[in-house]
Amino acid sequence: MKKYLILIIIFFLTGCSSYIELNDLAIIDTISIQKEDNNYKVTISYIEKIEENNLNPQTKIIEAKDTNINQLFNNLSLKINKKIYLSHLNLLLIDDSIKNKEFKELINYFLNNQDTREDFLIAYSNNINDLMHNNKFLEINDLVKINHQETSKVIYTTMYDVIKNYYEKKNIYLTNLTYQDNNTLPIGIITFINNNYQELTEDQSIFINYLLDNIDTFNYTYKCQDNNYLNLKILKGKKQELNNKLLITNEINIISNDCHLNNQEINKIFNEYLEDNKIYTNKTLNINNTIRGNYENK
Amino acid sequence: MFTFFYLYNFFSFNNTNIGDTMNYLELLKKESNNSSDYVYKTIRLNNHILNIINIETITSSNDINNFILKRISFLSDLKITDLENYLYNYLPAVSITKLKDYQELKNKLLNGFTILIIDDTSILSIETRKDLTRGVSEADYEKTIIGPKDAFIEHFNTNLGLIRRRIKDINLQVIDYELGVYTKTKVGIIYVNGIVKESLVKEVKKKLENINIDGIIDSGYLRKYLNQSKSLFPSLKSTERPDVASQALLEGKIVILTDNSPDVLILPTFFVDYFHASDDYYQKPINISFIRIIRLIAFLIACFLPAFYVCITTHNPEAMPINLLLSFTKQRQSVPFPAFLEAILMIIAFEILRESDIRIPSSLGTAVSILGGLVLGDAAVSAGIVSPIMIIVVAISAISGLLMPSIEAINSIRWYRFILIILASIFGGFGIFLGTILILANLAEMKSQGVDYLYPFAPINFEELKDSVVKISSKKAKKRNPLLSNNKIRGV
Amino acid sequence: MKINKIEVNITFLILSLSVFLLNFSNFTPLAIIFGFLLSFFLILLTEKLNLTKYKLTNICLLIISLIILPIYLNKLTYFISNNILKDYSGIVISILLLISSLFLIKKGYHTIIKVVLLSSYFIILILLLGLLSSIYLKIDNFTINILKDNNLFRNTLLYSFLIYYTYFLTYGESSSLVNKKTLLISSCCHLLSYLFIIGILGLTLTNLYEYAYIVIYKKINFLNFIERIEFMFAINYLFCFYYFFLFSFYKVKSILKKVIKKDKLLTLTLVILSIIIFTISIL
Repeated sequence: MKKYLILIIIFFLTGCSSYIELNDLAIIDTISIQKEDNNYKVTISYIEKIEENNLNPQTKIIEAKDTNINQLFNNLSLKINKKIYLSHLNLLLIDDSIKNKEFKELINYFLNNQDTREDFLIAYSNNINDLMHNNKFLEINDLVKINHQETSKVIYTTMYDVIKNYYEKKNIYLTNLTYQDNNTLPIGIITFINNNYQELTEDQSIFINYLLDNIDTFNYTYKCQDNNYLNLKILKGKKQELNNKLLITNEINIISNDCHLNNQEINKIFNEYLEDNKIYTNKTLNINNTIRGNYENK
Repeated sequence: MFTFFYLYNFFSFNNTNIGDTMNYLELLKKESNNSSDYVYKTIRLNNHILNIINIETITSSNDINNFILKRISFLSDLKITDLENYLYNYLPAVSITKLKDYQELKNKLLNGFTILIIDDTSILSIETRKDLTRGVSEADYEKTIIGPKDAFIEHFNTNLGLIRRRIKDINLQVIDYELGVYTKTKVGIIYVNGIVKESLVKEVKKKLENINIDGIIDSGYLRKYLNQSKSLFPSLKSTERPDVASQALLEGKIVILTDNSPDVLILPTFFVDYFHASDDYYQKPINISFIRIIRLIAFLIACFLPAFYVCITTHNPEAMPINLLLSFTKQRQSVPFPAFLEAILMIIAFEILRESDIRIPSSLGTAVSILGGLVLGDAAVSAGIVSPIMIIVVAISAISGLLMPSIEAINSIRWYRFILIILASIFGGFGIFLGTILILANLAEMKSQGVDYLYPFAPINFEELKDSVVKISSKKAKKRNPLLSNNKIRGV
Repeated sequence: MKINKIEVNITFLILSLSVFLLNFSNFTPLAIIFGFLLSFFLILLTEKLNLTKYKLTNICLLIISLIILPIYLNKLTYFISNNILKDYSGIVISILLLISSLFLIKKGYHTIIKVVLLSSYFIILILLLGLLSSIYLKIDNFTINILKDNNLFRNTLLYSFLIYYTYFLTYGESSSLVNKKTLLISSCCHLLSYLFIIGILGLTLTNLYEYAYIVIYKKINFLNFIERIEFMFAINYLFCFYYFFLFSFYKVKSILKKVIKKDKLLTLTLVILSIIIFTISIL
């Protein structure tokens, strides 16, 4: 009997230090980080209240500034009446001002913290404030994900990819977002290369997705002459890297063929399109297409 | 000195001569303090004096009238010298015995026999017991859809008869004991001689012989003496169905019947037996595998679900997907209690409901069930005392705890659930880990009559595993459990 | 009760998973292969020369166990406080581990083996569930750099030492020995899991993360609902690691039992030893 008493006393003396109620958590949804004059400026949007009839939870936005990221997050809790909770973080927005040194500090913070996971989306934007104030819950995440699946003009980079590319000293690719006409829009991919940011056009973003073997479906239109269009839908694209060559295989469905082109001409047009937008490699392209739905082959 | 002589005489009535039978009547009247249900009748038959004694509440007077008094009345014209042997041979009664002393007279009299004292020289006892029990009816709490539906009753002979109808072999043997100083209940050990291990029978006999107790009212009194282990899970199984008992006998287990008790004990038991119902053997094996897996899942849900919920919502919210997290915070916004207190309150409320359901007479049943459903369901949620998700969690775990085919297992699941909730609320996931290790260690050190409790799982036996969690039938001749019997192959 | 061959082999398989906890990223494929051959050779030697009869091996085992236990306890508390209980002080966790292992050791070898066996059904099931994350395998991650190793000699010695030590943990109480096939199977499992983890994460990330075998489960995300299940896998690994700790503690007790005959003295020495282990592990 004495043993059980001692055990029970030990249990209750421990204090339950990691016990927290769900209502005391400030579930942080998005973070945006900028650097101004040696100071990190962080804005956070966290979930404040969930109403019964609304599907979207209400969020609140808070700013803070400090020289060190760790100190900053420690001081943020002074402004919120709940505990900062980063495990359900969905989005991190960064700016022009984040370069190698800032990336290193960010990565260190997220790796060494026990509470954080590294599977959130990272995106780039030039007008961060508009985005932060007008973003609804999980809106940008779904936007990027679905656009990646449907148009392949954006890329869904998580923190894992950023860490991996940072340590292997490769390029970091992020989606580029803007805020126009009360809407958030993705406008292609932006790369962080040689401590600088380089914007790419939409067609070049498609090629980058080929390079990373990340391609999903996308649509391609070609104007032949006088309002006649060739519409292609590319279902699958794969790449294989050899010594000097880059092998790409595609499956193409023809949606409309107003120009009455046959398969060889379509191949030529598409290959030229990819060649024009080749970026960041020196290898020669070798493209194989399987085209379906062409009734003009004679 | 005189008191010693008196006491010696008083206690040595076992060895008195038969010639003191007139003293017996007076002794009886004195010892029973002239109780009103003792009936004494003297008959003069030619030159003989017959004294008939019986206790009218436990004997059937019809039998006495028809088979003893009627027959004796036919003897009034005959001249018989040796009345004792004549009656012993020709009375139409199957169980007549000649008694020797006062102690046997008392035993038989109190068991419902009629005593004939002939001429102060000889004593005969004739069985004329009254049937004070109910008839064989349906099982109360071990219900099945397919299979026989009769159940044991409180009468020892009927119970034994129900088993003997199923196992018609001469190797089915019974050993009787009369246990309890005041109750002298008949306790019987039943086993099949070629299958069971003799060491087990010897052990059980020894334990029963050492019982020294006032009285045995029910078979549950025997549990302490048959070494029911101190752990939370039961190690003696009790059943009220004769087909379960006969299946156990054919595997090499021992069945203990007690008079006045419809619950029959089976030993030794294994952990797996609490997941098997008797009608598992009457259906297709593939359907039964599905049901057994569901029973196992229900057992795990019943033990772990509330603890898992408390752990996830308090210590580890990062294990939840975002939609669940938001829905839980929304539901917990208005609740004043912390999560584990809520869980414990709901579980206690459910247990109160369950206990009251057993005791309540059926006329009040509907009102109470409506009240319980309303209070625990709607009213508590809309008053803001508990959150709806907590009611769902506790209800699911409670209902899946009721799925086991045996009542003792259901009762011990409650403890596991409780301990795990407390550990999870203090230590989170680590508490669940500690709780499972303690439970496993508790189960692993249990031995039921010297046989390992976790038999097909922990000392692994692949043949027996085929019948434990899933049921896979094989075409080869099935072997018996080697821990229970040396006679390996069935059917020969 | 006799302990079957199967039971000894299954316990060996589960105990050998503790290799993950001690420097996972150091055990590159070449180190595993060479370490397996070395430990195989050593085990054959011990069986032929029958080294376990001598007192010297027992003394060596005692000293080695007493050295391993604090290090292992330290790593185990860090594992728990990083993956399972995030805001808890490590002291309480290590005290609880020690108390529970003292409690379990009193029950004897047979119960411990039964506990391991019972939980092994679930451990193996859940580990096989972990193959769900094979969807995230990328063939690009398998480069020739995998085989490159800077400290090959040190890593092979470490690996072979660990396997040899776990061989001794399951030896002595039962008459059946660990089958050579299980040694092969366990090393194959380690190799395959290392390759699996590299296939998902890539070489840089596996060397970066300390608990890479849990990070791969963070990636599983089906339909936005079956996600964040690394908690379950962390508890799964916790069972395996804890059993290793338990068995090495039991080894200490069984060796001391031959010297100290009384029960109470034995428990006292064990308690004192556990306090010493605890203080060393804090440092």
